[in-house]
Amino acid sequence: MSLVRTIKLYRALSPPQKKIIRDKWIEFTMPPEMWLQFLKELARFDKEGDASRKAVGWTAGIAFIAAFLSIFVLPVGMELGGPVGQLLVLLPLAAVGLGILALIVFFALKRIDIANNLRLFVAPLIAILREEMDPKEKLALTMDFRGGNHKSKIQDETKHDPGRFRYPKIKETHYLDPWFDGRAQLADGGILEWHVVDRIRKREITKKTPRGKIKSKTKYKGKRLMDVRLGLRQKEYGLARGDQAAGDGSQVRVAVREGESRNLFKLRRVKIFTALDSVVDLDEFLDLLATAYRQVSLEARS
Amino acid sequence: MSKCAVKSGFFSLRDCGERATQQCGACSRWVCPRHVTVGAEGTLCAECAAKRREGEYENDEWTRERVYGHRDRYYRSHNYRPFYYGYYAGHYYDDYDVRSFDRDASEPLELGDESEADFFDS
Repeated sequence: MSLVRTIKLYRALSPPQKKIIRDKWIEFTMPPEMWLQFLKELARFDKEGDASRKAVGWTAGIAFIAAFLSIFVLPVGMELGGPVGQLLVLLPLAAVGLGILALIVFFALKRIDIANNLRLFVAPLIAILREEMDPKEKLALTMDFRGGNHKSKIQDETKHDPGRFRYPKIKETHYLDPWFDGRAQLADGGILEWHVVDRIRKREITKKTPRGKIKSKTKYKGKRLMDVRLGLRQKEYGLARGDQAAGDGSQVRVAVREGESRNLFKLRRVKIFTALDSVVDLDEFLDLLATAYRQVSLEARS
Repeated sequence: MSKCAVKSGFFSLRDCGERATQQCGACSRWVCPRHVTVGAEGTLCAECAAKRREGEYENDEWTRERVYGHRDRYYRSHNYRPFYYGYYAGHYYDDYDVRSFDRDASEPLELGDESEADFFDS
């Protein structure tokens, strides 16, 4: 049973891990190996929790359908009488009870859910950075998983309301969600910083159909800005010139500044998304770093 | 005793540097305990194990060997040429078309602390 496993995994979490699930906020500085150990149990719990929520959601749906259908056997049960009849009479009530219980569990699981970006993007990224970093170096990460439509992230709201009984009514809410920051010193001496920000627009439209029905719809659209700054030491890497600075065809914008001891690469990738829980494609993030490394050459040491 | 032949890193590769204790059953390279996988197929280095297990990983399983598998696929699918930052490359990485430094073997790689100001000096 997935739900039992979820409960067991939750109980096995340490108090700081439970606090993360409660607050949906992570901010630590520690070596990548420790990060992976710390997040491993959280990721496992999240995966199991997602599976449980799905199963419980289905259970609720099926229970309510069963409750509806069992209404039709109610007269048969009343007519039959006896234990079988009583059972048929109790069936709708039992189904409704099960449905309500499943819904309560569903929302309880939803409350302790953590964004899939943690296990599908952040954890793999840390595993890759573990390779790029000296084992003793610390990785500073800040993650805000409260969600892109958290009320504290509202930037502005606009309303278009033509008046009572007049449609369409449109309400737009704009959110700014800086949810992932990080800083690392790489084994080649490079210093890496990144900042992932989601700009989200929530549009709630209430309109009247030609048949006179009032319908409401909520839509999300977001723009994800992935900004990376990578300072590579000139002692190790020179700037590639001409053909050497090969592009990769990815949609990465890059600006390079030559400093006294480092070349600083500022890289940006913009991604449009329509689902609030959209997961960052790991390779798209890695492309940002690859773009910087493509633009340096070996000439500095020769 | 020889050093581990597996290369750490993703965008720039470097020698693992650890003491090798076992030999990979597939590529015959000597590897350290951190880069060895012992399974049904015998003793394999993390890179050979990754190639054999390609696509068989769970979503939340990000072991070293999986990272090396991802690294291999990333180089091929994105046509990326990593830097090599070490002293003993070996033929295992010939396919990667690595960009190597003409490093003087007597000169160690300096990884001293850089001040915050230095990072933003540009």
